[in-house]
Amino acid sequence: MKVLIIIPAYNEELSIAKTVKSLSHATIDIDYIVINDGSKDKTREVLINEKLNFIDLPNNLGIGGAVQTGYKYALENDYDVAIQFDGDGQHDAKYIKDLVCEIEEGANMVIGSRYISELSEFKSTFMRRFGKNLLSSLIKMVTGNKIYDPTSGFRAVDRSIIQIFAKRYPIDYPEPDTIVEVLKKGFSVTEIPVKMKSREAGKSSISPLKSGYYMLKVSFSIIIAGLNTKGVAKDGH
Amino acid sequence: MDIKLKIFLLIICVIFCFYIYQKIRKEQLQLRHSLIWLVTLFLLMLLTIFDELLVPLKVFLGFETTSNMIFLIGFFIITLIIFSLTLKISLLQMNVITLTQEVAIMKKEISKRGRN
Repeated sequence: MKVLIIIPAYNEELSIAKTVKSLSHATIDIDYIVINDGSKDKTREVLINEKLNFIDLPNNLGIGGAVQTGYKYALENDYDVAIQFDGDGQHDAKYIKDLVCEIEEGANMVIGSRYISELSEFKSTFMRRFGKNLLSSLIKMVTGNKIYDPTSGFRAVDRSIIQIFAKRYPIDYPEPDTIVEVLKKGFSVTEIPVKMKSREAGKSSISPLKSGYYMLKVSFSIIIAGLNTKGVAKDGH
Repeated sequence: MDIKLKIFLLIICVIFCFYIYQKIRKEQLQLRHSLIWLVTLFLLMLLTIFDELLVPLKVFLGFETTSNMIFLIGFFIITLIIFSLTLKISLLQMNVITLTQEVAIMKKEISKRGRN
């Protein structure tokens, strides 16, 4: 299987090189592509100096637009599996093999989940957990499937989903509503337990101030995605 | 409606029309995007001049004055225009994202070929 790791990077000059090097912990053969999302710091210089494989977006598109660039690249270069991997060092490359295994066993989308088992003692505030549970219940309501970690950005998808995402992908906070869309189209989504590290450098993309907007936008988009593709069969797209 | 108010509204509308005409002439505004504004201004001018025509409707809807009603009509039209602008911006943003992605991927392909 040809596997592509998509690493979106916005102002990650301090951690991007380390993140790419950490990919050597993946125990299978992989390619990677860094998407520099119009960073204002020295991310681009770091990518050039370290001779890393990257695509340079001339504008800042936001996380959704950056990741989608990776899916388009995966589609054009004929990859079987595409895996989203944060540029800030949160994700652990040793789980890449587990994600790919799940795809090999027939899952269309696999989420690296922080909450699926007690293995993960990922530090989280009460509000974050509350928000996550709310999103989980909302997804369950709309699709009938329980997703333990709907906001995880550590995800693998197969060819069919790469095609869908290359065509259409939300601009901001894309994780939860893409899960709904995939489920609604009749594809399978599974989760495997992963541990995530706390961020190595840089700030979280979700500040406390934005979380109100975040919950509103995401809840709304889950409902829209739920209504949108209602009853569309797997081969109906 | 008071004649002073009528004249005031008409002057504003005429100045605005002239401004739009200037923008079209200098090619800073596409004619097709100006039409909705010109039609709106024309309608408001007509209603201002022949405001007696609105009296039955004013009485029916319970407005105190005809000028209030003209303002409300203007407000509705402007709301529609603003919403259509939001739609346009949304569409433009999606187009810009697609273009940015395509350009970036193309640049990548070119540099790949350059190295081989």
